[in-house]
Amino acid sequence: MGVKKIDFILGLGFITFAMAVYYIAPVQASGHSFRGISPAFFPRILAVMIILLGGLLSIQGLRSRNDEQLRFDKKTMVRILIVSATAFAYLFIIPWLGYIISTMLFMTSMLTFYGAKKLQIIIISIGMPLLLYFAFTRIMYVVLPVGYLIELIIY
Amino acid sequence: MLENIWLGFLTFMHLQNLIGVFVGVTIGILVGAIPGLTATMAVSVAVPLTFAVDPVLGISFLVGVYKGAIYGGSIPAILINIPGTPAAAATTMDGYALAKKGEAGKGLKMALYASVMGDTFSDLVLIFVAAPIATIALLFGPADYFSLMLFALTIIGMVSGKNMVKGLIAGLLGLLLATIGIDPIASTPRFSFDILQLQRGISFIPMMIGVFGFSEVLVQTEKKSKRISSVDIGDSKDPKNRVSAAEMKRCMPTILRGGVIGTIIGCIPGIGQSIAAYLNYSEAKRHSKHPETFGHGELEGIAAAESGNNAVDGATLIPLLTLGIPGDVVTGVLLGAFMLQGLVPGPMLFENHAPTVYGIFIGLLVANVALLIIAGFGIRFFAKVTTMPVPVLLPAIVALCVIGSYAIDNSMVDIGIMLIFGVIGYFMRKFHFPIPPLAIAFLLSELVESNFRRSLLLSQGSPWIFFTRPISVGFLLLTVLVVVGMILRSRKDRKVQVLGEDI
Repeated sequence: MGVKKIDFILGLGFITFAMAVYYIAPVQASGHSFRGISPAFFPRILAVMIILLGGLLSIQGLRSRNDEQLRFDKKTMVRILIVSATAFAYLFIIPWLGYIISTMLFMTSMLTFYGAKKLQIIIISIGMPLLLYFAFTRIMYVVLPVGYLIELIIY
Repeated sequence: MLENIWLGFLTFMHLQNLIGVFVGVTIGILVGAIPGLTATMAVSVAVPLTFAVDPVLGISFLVGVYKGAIYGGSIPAILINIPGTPAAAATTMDGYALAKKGEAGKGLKMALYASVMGDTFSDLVLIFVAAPIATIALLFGPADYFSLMLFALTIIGMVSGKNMVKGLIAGLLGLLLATIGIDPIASTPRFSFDILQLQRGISFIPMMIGVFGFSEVLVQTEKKSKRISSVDIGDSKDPKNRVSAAEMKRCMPTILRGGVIGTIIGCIPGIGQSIAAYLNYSEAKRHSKHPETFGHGELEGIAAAESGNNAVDGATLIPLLTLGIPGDVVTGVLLGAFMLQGLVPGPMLFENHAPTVYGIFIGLLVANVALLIIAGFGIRFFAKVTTMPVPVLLPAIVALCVIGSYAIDNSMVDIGIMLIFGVIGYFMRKFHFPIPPLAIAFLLSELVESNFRRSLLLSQGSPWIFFTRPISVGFLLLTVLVVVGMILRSRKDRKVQVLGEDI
């Protein structure tokens, strides 16, 4: 897709978003108003400015001579989706499996995805989680999640 | 002043601080030397490591990472013709040509000496001018502060990307996102949609780690993994690989000029290292008796680029520490680190925490010495890092982003915020929206809003307060001048472009 079309659509998107902010502000940012300045005042000014600039972006999209094509091939998008989805999955398994096991699983899958060598995968996915765990719990006194499932097994 | 510097020296001189700076510089050079990993990413991922330690140690460590990474970027610029960080782009012009002549070692050494000298110059300026500027800043009222921030954010928005409108939109979105949470004056929740986690607002460190760390990983994911071959750095005893006294003397004026240009650029919000490097490079070429050698392995070219970009480092701390305004993203992240430590950058910092501030100043100078020692001895090792396949590192970076975001508040929600902003950051880059205005505006939003509303409360609702105070009027005029100037310039550029197309 060309930049021109994307800018035009994004401009309209920003206008819609900012209009929504403008209208929900009095409800979502209610509170004591003092001399006419309420908590909704500042967000509403910002919303108006975004509407103006969104309009300008759309006009630019229509009038611009530069129509550089952005790379959105399927393969790249699938790669990005896999990495993001794995990272979110990692976030959701931490409370269940605990920090160490989740991180090991995450590192193994990601290193395999990026095409690391077998030995690298083994060393990094076992070494790094343990190293981080000890550094953060022992040196910086951060309490890392043990994991509900692990707790069930231990206790 | 001298008393404070001595006090700072005593505060800094503990073994742990020295180790912290050396470790920071080493990490910085390593990250900077790997093409694709930037100084901003290094500093933002490193911030969570510092919250549990003393501010002098924590901030000096981060500054070490920052300086190390900016220098580290020159290593691949010289050896493989790819700048390790955007700041080193100008270094490739002569660096790689020199390396191809078999003088890579000489290029790397000149880059190091020029970087350290540029850095030191800029740090000394910071140390001597910061306190006087802070004293002036004490006179600022809420209206003046608001106008100053408006000025800084407008410049950052307009110069950060190719498209000014996109930069300004990014800045406004940053301001708006920060209004989620508790209202700073009325103390009521805003845009929380009755979700408890949103009432806390979006935590800025996880957000920064997301937009600069995780999004960088996604950008790198697009690229295919390939091994790059590097130029051999040769025998260090070979005179071809050393910088002679005569060569150093020849490059001195350029390095000093780089110090001055870099320092001035560093004080102005939003411009940054790569422009300072290019500017000093073109100045060096203009003053040279043999400008034709530039671009073909001219040692002075490397000295120009590296002294220029490193001299920005110390100077960017001037607006941060004296006014509380971060001039670029790295100082934005540093502002986050200061706040994490319970220190609020701005004029009161010098009044209330003088030993800490001067301790950090000494840390800056020590970081330069550390850079000289570590890069001087470890150059062979760092040269190997430049050819490291990035993909192997990406999962490790994500793991650091995750544990870092969690550790600040022991919160899983913060990991989610980091990941979401990582994806947002990735698409912003894809659509050519600059991230610095978003991040800096987000950080400054509460100050912008509370100063704005406080001014209006003082003036009983009349906006004239912004136009009657001299300091405020000054900044507003500057803002208008900058906006008009930038629009006129971009029109002129467009005309030239259009003419070029016609021909």
